[in-house]
Amino acid sequence: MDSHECQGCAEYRELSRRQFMAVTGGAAVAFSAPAWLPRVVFAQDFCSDRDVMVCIFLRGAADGLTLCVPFTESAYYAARPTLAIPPPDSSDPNHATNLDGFFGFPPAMTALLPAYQAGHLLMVHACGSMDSSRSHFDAQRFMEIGQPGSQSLFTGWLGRHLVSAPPINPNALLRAIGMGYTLQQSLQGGPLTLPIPDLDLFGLAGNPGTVAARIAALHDMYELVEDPLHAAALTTQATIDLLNTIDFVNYQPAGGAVYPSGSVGYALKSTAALIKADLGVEAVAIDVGGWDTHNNQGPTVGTMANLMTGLSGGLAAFHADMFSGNGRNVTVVAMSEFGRRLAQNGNDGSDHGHGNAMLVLGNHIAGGRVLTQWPGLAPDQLFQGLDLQVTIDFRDILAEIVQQRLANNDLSFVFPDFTPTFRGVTQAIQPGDMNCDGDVNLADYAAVNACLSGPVTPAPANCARADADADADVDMADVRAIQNAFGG
Amino acid sequence: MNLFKLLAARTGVLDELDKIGALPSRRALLFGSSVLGTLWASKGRADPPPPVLNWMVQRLTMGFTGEELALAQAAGTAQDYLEYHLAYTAIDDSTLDQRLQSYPTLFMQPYELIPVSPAHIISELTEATILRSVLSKRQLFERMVEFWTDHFNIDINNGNARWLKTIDDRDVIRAHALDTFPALLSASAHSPAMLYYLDNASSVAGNPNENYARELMELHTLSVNGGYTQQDVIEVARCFTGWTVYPTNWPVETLRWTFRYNGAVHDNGAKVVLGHDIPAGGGINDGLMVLDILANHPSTAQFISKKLCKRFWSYDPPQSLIDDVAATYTATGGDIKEMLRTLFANPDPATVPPKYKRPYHLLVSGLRGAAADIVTTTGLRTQLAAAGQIPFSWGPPDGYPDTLSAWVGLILPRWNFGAALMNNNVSGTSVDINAFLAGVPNTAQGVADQIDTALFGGQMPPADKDRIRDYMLPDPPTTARKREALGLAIGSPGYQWY
Repeated sequence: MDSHECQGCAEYRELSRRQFMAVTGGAAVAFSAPAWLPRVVFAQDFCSDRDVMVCIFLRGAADGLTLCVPFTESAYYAARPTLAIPPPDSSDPNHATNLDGFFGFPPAMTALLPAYQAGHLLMVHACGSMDSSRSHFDAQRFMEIGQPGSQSLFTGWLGRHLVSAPPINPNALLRAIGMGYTLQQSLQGGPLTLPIPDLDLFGLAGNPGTVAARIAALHDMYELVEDPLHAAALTTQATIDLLNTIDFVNYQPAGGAVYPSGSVGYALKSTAALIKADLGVEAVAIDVGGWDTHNNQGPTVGTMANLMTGLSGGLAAFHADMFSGNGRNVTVVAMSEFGRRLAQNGNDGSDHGHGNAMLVLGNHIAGGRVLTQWPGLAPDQLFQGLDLQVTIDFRDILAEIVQQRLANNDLSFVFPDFTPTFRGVTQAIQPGDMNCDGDVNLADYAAVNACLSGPVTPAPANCARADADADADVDMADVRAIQNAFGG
Repeated sequence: MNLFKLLAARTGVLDELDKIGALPSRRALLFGSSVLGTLWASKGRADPPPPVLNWMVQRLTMGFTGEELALAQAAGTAQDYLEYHLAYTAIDDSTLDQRLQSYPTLFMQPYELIPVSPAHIISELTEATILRSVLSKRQLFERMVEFWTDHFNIDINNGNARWLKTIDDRDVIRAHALDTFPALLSASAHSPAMLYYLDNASSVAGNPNENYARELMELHTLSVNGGYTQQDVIEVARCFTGWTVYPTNWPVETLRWTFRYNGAVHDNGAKVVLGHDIPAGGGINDGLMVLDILANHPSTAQFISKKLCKRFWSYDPPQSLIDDVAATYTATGGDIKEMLRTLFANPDPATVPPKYKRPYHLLVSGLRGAAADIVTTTGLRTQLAAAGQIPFSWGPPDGYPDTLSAWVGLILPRWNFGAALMNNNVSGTSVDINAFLAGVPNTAQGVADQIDTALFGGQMPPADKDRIRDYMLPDPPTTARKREALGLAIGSPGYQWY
């Protein structure tokens, strides 16, 4: 920083330091590296201006009318004699748990009640893609490219976000991971992005004594080819070393979180370790398959109940793990290509439908409620006379997250030819809460101090939280505002 | 909005990257598949196109071998070599057939499978499939089996398909892989594994299950934009009510788990499918009529032809080629051999971009090229699972993808396969390096030349070959280095393409 432009910086720093100290008396916060992360310096700053995005796709068309039960709708009960989840006041032990007087969780989703009650989980209903397709593969593609109906767009919305946003960590070797063997379409086009089926198993086989020589040979050969093979190979080589720094097996979750066995729990546990290791990965895509319940849907016992138990248990553990204590900047969305038919079929299952429920989880999400413009379930209120309508475009939800939580204003690039309506999915950031723990106290002091730039100069990187008046600098006006919010 | 002001100052970074070409241009990212397709279909190096017979071997087989090239050369032209493989029943495969006798579930009837553990059935079918891919002399037939296995995908881990996929493999896919498409389609529609997998087995009048009806049109015949509506899905589902499977306790033992038409649960009302009237009271003929309508629909000819061209020609085949193959489909009643004849009528490697091997293809080609000895496929199955393509295990009904973008990211298992195979870490499979190098000078260059000959037919990219050679220096190379060099060649960039 040019000292000439930072007239008064020393003054601001001294002033703010005194004010912080006066209130709290001061205390040092100690950090130490946990044993599961032995080989890298543990990130002391849990918090950045931007969230890590965890995008869960429920493949096969998850039944939103079970995930989030509209228990005041008589049409729901009439159309689903054996599939409906009984209302909260039912004596049936498998009754729904009331969320807001209209919607409820089925028993297999109640693990998410703590996150909902903490205000971190937002349910969105009658949401989805306006495109009428009931094809799994088209509808998934439309959602993942972020442009329903398009036959020409190939890259994914998350990939385009990564392209159009500078890396959270400028030195990141890997910016996004798609859990799996093939890269999710949502991440296609993303820089430094790889599909990885198991974060814990990512090393070069063969004689350990020649690994370095073989890596060198592979590097030299792949150096000469073009993308995408070039990028995949070189990113893979960097990632081998990167992931080797984390002992995923012995990772100890925080907040008493216990991840359930099963693929979702494992994927989310690995993701938590990865995020806490702070290597610069800013997007993770996770697939959960098996939701195409045409036959014996099993909303309380069986296929769908098992899937929901895995999902809700995994997310609940992730919530406890990531948002305990200071919390991490993470937003999770869980979405599915479309919902299922209101009326059950002849096999205690349901066929392809339209509108659906979506889950959004994060410590800056305006949760604890069901966001919906409920269209009703009477015959004349149904899409094509069959299915729940879509009244909220899924891109409204994602675009707000991209702008407000991923700090990317380039929405016309991420979601082409679409003007989103922000629906209050996200919460405003509290100025001065540098460590994202929900309040402003002494622990935030040093970080605010480091951001002081004076009234003319733009603040350094990662200082948006200190820029209370959003004028690009961090100056006395900001310190004053932060001081007013000081809660200890 | 403070975040954005700060970030606005940084966006210049991206523009700089754009300028130096470090990122795909924003235009390419937005305007997608055609632009990227062009970029990605390129190997990225100015390697000369392979001679046409080498190219034909790569296209028609599961991996280049010197033996196949010799067969092609002995046959004469590309078309002669194609005819050799189309007449697959004339190719002696008795050695493999004899070996497959030791997998008894391959030859059982459905009722005989009922008491067998599904893990055992799956194991035998998977092992037989890998052995056929690597060892069969009827390589084009095996390529077509793989093609139709993807097209009529059934997840072998799903319900009764755990027992019955092996029947579908034998009586549907293998029985009709080079037959006509309508015959194949009809066999699939009657296949107990398919009837279970897509839930038609339980679909009954009054409240039919739409799963099979939709995928029949979307994935098996017309394609998603092939001209059907949601109402057509409902009508087709009605037509197929009652197409089911005899239960395992049926009194006639030999009928158990075979196709059953149960008229008692069939919807006998009139239907309209794609504009065709299907009169009331048609019984089983309703479904047969639907299959006929679909097989004769121009969208089906176009869809099947395009998919064949994408598999055998390039990711982005010329529309004129697709149209030619589709015309053959229409003219011959969907004769698969005739379609392949049209497809390969004018092979021109110089104008056809290479394709990226899927994981299964890469592993099988490596086993073929290195002349691996497979005693059991235990370790190979672990390798295939790690690479993401163990046979019959794709969950959704669209089959393992055949796109560059799907597979290009996960390259580590490809390197690891080469490394593990040559480090004797693939249980049940080994490579005799001395046999592989018989008669070859014991120099790094000599070994590299032999790798080029055996795996690439002399078409190995020179830079890769030089680097592999250098890996073995100084002369004389150690056995360990020679083994590792072969492993590296399997993982080298040039070997990922065909």
